[in-house]
Amino acid sequence: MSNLSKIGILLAVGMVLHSYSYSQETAKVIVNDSLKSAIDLEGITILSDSTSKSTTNFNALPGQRTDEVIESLQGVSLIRRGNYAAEPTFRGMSSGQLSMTIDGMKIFGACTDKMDPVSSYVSSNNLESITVSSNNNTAGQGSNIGGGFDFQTKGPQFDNNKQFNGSAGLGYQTNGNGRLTDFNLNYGDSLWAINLNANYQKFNNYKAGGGDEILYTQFEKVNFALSASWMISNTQVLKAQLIYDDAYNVGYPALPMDVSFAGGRIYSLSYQKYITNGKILLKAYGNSITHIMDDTKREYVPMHMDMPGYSDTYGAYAKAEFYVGNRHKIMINPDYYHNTSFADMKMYPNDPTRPEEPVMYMITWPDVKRHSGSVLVADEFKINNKSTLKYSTKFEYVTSKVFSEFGLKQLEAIGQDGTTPSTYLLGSGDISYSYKVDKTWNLFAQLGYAERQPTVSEGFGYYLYNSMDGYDYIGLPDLLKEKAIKATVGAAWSKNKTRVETKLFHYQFQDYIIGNVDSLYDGMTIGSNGVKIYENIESASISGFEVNISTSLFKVLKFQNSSQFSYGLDNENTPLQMIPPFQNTTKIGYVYKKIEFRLESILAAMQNQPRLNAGETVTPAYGIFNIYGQAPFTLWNQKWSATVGVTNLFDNNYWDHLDWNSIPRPGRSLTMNLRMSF
Amino acid sequence: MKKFKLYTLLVLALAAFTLGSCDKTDEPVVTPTDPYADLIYIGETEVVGAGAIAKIYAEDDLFVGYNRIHIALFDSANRSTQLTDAHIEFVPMMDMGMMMHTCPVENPGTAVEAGTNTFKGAAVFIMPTTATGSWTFNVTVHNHVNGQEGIASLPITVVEKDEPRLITFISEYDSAKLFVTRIDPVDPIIGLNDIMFGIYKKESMMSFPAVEGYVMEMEPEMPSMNHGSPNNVDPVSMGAGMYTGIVNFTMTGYWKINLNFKTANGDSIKLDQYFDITFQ
Repeated sequence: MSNLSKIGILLAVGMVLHSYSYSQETAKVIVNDSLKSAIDLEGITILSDSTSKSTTNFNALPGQRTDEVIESLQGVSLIRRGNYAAEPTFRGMSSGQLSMTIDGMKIFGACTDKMDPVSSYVSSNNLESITVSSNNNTAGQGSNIGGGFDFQTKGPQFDNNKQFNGSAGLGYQTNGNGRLTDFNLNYGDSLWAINLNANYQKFNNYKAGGGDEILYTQFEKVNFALSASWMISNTQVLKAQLIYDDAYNVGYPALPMDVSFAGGRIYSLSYQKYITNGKILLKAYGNSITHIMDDTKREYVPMHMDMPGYSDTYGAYAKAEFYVGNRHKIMINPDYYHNTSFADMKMYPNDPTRPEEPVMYMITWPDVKRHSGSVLVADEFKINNKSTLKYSTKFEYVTSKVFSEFGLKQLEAIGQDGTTPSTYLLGSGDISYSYKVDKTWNLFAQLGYAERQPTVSEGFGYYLYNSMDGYDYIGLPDLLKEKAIKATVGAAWSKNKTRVETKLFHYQFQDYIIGNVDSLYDGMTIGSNGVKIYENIESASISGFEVNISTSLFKVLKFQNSSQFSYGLDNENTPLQMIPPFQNTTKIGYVYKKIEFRLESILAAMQNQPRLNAGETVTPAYGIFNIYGQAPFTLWNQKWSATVGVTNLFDNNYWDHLDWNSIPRPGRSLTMNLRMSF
Repeated sequence: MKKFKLYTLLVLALAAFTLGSCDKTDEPVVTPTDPYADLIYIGETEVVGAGAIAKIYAEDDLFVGYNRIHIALFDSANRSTQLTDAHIEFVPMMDMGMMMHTCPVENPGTAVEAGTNTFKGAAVFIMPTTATGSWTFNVTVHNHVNGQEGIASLPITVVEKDEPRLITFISEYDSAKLFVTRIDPVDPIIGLNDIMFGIYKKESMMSFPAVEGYVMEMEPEMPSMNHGSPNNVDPVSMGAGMYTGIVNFTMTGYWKINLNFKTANGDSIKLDQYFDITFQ
């Protein structure tokens, strides 16, 4: 208990970082650790972990972009449609099956075609950590099947010794003429703390392995974050936060359209109080996302279209964590949010024989307003020194209604009634048990049940074009909720500095939501193959494994190898779509006179289980290698670090199975980063 | 929607029933402030011999196609007295100098519209007013109040719509000259719309009876994007030359309604005809 209150006080003075709460089956990556020395500001610690707190020290490299950091997480693969805003998947699950939050705030992308995942509205240098949890009962994450991502941004740091500190970085990548710059300034006294963070990135088209330029892979992004904390008393902190993210001229080579503007305005106010046996957090937030698609830069456009999308979310939640006795750590998390999603489409006819023909119009997200209220209760029960039991349950009531009259008429046109709200009562439960056999062996088992509501697109989307399979997707307001039983077993062996960990998982879905062809409907998009309607299929399953091995030798050499594999089938034993093949990542680090060298290899097997009717094809295996060197030095009494690397060393021409339309990824690139901390 | 269709059916059946008879029907009389606010005034003329004044209203400027026409009848001696007990028939006439012809009509008979107290019928003008051809709208009135009968004649102007509401062709089945008019929707909306067509044939210059029992196949199409729409219902013959169905517009813009006409036995009458519908 005394230890905990000590932690509480530490937290109160801003050392929020040291309060990692380990949830089983949670991988947490510390991207930036501001408590460490300046050089290590971009330090990354992987606590990829089901059973213990072992760490390996392959830090995220300075200047790495958010997507690159996410992709290095175990179990995570990216659906790439371009060189920006890749959509994270976890063990073959994506979109509505995962929850994605920034500092616990629910945010929903404003693009009907998933071109703006929540991860695209944060910048890597403003990230303190990313939590990936397979537990669908994680605080603040809403109902989901596969767990979720929470992106924790840098908060302002109280500091008694040094009122001002910060860092600045400049980066360059030869491939794509990538320019990156970032800046962070923190002011902190014992009462107030303010943090300003800025990040700017601009890339031109990159060249794939072999030298072919990949058109429409450019992007430009600017991100500002401002946060301020006020220490009301030793145990109470009030914090306000503002994130302003703009992306311009973002190319999507896998899609027929690009994005002229994607903007996120994210703000929150939170109050945290430490009590003798725990802490309470109250948070209110709002965000407004605008996403404007653009086809004016394309060479061949059969018809010009305007496709803006808007998503606004407001919410509030409370999270109380406290100990009951020495053995129970209870968490209670009531949560409410409200989202409005609207997107429409103007199509400009261009038949010269009919110059008077007016603009065509339809609404693709018909002003759907969604209210959700949920309560999550969890207990971490330390049975004895050897075993811990965690169990949790969550109930959510969510209701969605169409507020556009025009949208209701459209629904009527496809035989649907949108006048009554779609409501879902969602329940989930999770139980996990870990057992420490002896000093070297840990065993772990988890069983859970999860339900989720359909996304706005799945419930109300109207002719949303998917350029991967070439079908227009229509949502159904009366879809059933998707359900899954999930199970994981794991074992970890560790001795000295060596650690081996394996996990086996299986998700058995019922009423899995997927789009299937309805031949009664004509495709709307010019050149589309037809229409797919979202429906519940009886069953589906995803199973797989993850293996992680890490060791270090002679204090200067370290090694980490992680493998992941997922296998998904629908009720007719046809492979599910967007399932990553077997993938293996090896990292070897060597430190010589403070200079750290790193070699990375990423190998992916052939994916010979494509979902053909989702436009997938067999994807060949690939392997790429990256090398880096990072040197710290002191100049003008300031701490500096220089990083030089070569990514895709052998200039391989490759693409991943999850890369839409097999657009090759970047070829060889020389990357440089110079940063200073003060 | 189903209810609405039934209602349309009922109204049509009622109209068909009252057309043939000259019985008086009692309609509840409701008088709003301006009963004709939604109508377009075409003109007025004396019904010579019937002791009445006929004011002619339409729902749009008169055009080539199906025009709903309302006749408000007043006592010529006391112009503020509206007459609601009469029997009315339309005989529009096109005078082309060398020849004259009429056009398909729906006669109001004795039925009076609630609210406006007008006699409502329709005329399907089959050509516009031109330099060499002029329309006269003739109305025969049997004034049941005084028992007198007479004719009102009003010169009118008929224009061609930018998007024609009437197509004309020769039946490949029996060589009859056919007129097909798109009646509804007048103001199309996104989604499901009741669609109504009228089919008539030319028997002689003075006779254009309604044609019943044909089979229509309908396929809406958005030519600019080369797609159609689901959930359409082919129009079916409802009697009195009326064919009703459902057309589905999945977005706003320019639509082409493709039509095939066949006999009940499946013999082609005419294929690949169309109407344009543009709305925003």
